[in-house]
Amino acid sequence: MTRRRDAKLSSFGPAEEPESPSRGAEEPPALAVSTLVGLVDRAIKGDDRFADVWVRGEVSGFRPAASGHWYFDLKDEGALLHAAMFRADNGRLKWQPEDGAEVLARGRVAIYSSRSELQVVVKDLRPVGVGALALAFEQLRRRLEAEGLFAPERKRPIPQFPSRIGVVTSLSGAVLRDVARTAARRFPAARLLVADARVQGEGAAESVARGIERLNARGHVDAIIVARGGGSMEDLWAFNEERVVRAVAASAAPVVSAVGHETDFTLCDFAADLRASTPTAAAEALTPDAGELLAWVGESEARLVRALEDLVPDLQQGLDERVERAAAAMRRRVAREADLLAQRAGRLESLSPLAVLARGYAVAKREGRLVREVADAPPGSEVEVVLRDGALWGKVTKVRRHGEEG
Amino acid sequence: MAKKAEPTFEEDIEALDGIVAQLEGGELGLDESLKRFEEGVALARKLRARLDAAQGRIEELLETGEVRRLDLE
Repeated sequence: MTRRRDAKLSSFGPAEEPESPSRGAEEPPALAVSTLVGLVDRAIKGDDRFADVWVRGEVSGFRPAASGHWYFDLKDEGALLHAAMFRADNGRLKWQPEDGAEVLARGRVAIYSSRSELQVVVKDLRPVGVGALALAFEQLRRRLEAEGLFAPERKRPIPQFPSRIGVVTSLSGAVLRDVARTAARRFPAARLLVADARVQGEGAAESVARGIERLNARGHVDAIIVARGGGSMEDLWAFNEERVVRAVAASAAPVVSAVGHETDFTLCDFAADLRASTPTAAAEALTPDAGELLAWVGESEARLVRALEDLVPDLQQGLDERVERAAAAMRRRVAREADLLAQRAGRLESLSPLAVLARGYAVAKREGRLVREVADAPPGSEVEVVLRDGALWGKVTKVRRHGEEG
Repeated sequence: MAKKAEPTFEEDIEALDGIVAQLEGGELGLDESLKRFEEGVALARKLRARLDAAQGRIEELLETGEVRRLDLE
């Protein structure tokens, strides 16, 4: 191999280079810089060992460009190698390298000619020590969490009595049957509206996300179950993709996520308003127990009847109280009238001439008429003097007005 | 004025709960109490009918927005 390369190099002798006419004969023959770099580049490109190589090293100086290409260095204790990974290639990666990460890079070696830098053009990149999916999961989780997509205050309450429940899952899986059976058993009034979705493989994330969006836009659903049966991390991967997580977070209807088995956690679970351990548990969370509800309705009816029954003696008592109050008022009024009457009787009495006579006064009368002044009874006339216990008669012998000499 | 939508199951349950509480509170007059009692009984009957409803329906929402009946069995 080495011999072949040497042979190849020797075929580009200085003799092939154009000689500079201004240079003297003693000047050693030289290559132009670009020529030499070109030679080295061609030598590398011509060597199969560099066309597709795995290299292991630590990422350093990672810098994603606005163009979408990634530039970074791969290094170990002894050397540093520039690396580039173009957008078309890095777009296939679910994770993103960070400085300090130990990686395996696969690509071809080339010379970046304007700076004569040796670089590896990376086609595939894998983390060392930790699985690429686990790393991708963790990176996306951190990024979306920092954005607040999983925040507890974003969680919406799960409706207790949804009349229409959306289900995003595969029409062909056992999951839909589990959900349907559970919902029908617990709450037959609920209607299920299914958005058929690919739940694994190419296009699955897009299919699930569009199912969620479709149910929100046109399904009039009160809640959505996003469900898939158990599987490997690769199988469940669609539910870790940003497209699905964002669709769940943006859903107007509350989302219950039931992906995989109880031990599997997906980012879809984190973004959902409720995580259920299984599709059956998701259906249970969204449906009240009709049996319990029927019992409650019966109890409510009994309470209505009891309350009405209680009301009748209450009203009776109220009536009695009112009658009693009216009677008391009447009694008080009668008593007051009696009082007034007694008072008036007293005054009448005090005005009676008999009462005056009782105190020692006398009344004089002449021919049955009261004698009010001296002129009413001239001397010689006969007068009747009424006293307390009788009357006496006499003749007027003398008259004197007040103030006259006697 | 827009026609009022049919109350949801949840709204009916809340309404019944409210009527029971009102009647038990005993603040209403006889006429009002009888009226509320009748409303409560009607609500209970309606709720029971909905709970006793036949097997739940399953439908599919197609990409086109159309809805079609699904038969899982």
